[in-house]
Amino acid sequence: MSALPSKLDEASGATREQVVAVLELLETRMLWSTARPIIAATGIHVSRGWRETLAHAREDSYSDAIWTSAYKSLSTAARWHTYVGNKHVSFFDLREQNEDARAQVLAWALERAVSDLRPVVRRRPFDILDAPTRKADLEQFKNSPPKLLAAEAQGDKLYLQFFSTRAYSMREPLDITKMSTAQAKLFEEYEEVIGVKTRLVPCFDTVVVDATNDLVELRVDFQPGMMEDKNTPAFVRVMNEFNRATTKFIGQGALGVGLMNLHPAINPMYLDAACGRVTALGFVATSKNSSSNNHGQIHRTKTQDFRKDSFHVGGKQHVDKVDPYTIGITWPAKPPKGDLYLELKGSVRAIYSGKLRAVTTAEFLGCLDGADYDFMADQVLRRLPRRKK
Amino acid sequence: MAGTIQDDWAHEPRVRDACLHVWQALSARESHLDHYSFDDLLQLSEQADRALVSQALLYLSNPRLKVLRTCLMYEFNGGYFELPAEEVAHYARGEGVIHPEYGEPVDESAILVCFTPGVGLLRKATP
Repeated sequence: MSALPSKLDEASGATREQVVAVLELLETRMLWSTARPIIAATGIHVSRGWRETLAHAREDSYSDAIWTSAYKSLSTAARWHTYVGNKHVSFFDLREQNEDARAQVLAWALERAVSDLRPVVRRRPFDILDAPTRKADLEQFKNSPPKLLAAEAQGDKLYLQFFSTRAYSMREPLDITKMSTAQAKLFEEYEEVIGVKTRLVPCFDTVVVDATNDLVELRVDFQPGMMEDKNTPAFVRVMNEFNRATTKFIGQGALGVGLMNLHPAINPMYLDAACGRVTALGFVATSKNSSSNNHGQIHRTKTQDFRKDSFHVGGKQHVDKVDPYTIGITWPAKPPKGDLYLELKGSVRAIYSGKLRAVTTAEFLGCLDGADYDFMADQVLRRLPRRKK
Repeated sequence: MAGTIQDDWAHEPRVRDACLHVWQALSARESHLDHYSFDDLLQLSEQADRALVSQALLYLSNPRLKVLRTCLMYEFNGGYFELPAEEVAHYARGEGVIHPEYGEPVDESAILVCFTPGVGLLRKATP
């Protein structure tokens, strides 16, 4: 199991301000359904949604012991979440590099990276938990390259934690009836007016060099259901930053070849009835006379499984072949943990095209700690063909 | 059930008929769909007045009859999922709904409504 890359100072007490600051950080990144039981377990009053809960935390009185224990558990959850929560994960297979290059990367990662990068970490603008959350404070990092906040080696893994500010946009319907007469007149021909709101978010992107498995993982933060600014792809920025560091210290970029195609894991996951519940599926169905492209998502409740869905099972009996190219799998969990969700989001092109249009990103949702993350990563990796060590 | 409906809506024959048509159509079925949309039930009611049918469906969903269960759905990450009972209760009182995943208020227009077979209906279907 992955170790927590950083530890807290357990001896010191914590204040309301510290707890509120961690809650504000969690509000920018953790789903409410995930955060709610964690906050409730601390003894802090949980209200309806983030706004009311934060407002209460800013006003309510608790003993020092409660503030301190709340800070301890919330900051642990927040720190974990920056490493494993809501991530687009890509894997680079170091076995695809030549032996010398692979050995150099691994030796640097395990033996020298932490000391080489110490001066950079020392100049970091803030620690992970002190990351800015307000728009005015985030603005200054909007166009700058990712900042290295932490570099730690644990066991046979190197963890590098980068920070950057990203912009996400949300579409919201605007109520014409609440506009002034002049404004309403402007939109009188429209039945619905949609506004696009941009939100700046503190993001943490993790690079993990795994010496046991000859892998480099890129775990890039994402906000579920929101559109990211496509002009500054986080994956490329973090990869460039990591390559810049390895070029400086070992004279070569560590990442370039070896980006793993995750598509070969999709069909085995679909066929393995013991592999969670299939709650999203994209597939091509082919019969003698026709072929169709289908995409479905389990409706209303996540407790169903496409493998047992009557429409899917019935349809499958009438075609000769089903080729899945996208799969979403849910593993139910008991509170205080929430469901884990993994999605390999391919396009129909992945079936017909070569490596260049492969599935290179897995969506991990709901991980709260290293055990959750390792479970999900294993579900993908053990179904992928790789060269022997 | 039919007698209760007739008694309750004796003074409103159109609502009574809508309720009876929906009840008779649904209770005659051997098996049920996972859920029914408003338009499905509008057809079964044999009425064109959407407000009147809405009133009839609310009545059939009340805790005394439980023929239907109102199901409100929210959108998340490309899918539609059922709102938890706590948020449905707020909605029923005319209060704002909090998105279960984002923890932010949800605009009413973003909430989808459907009806699932209630205990009263399922009990009827059991031989």
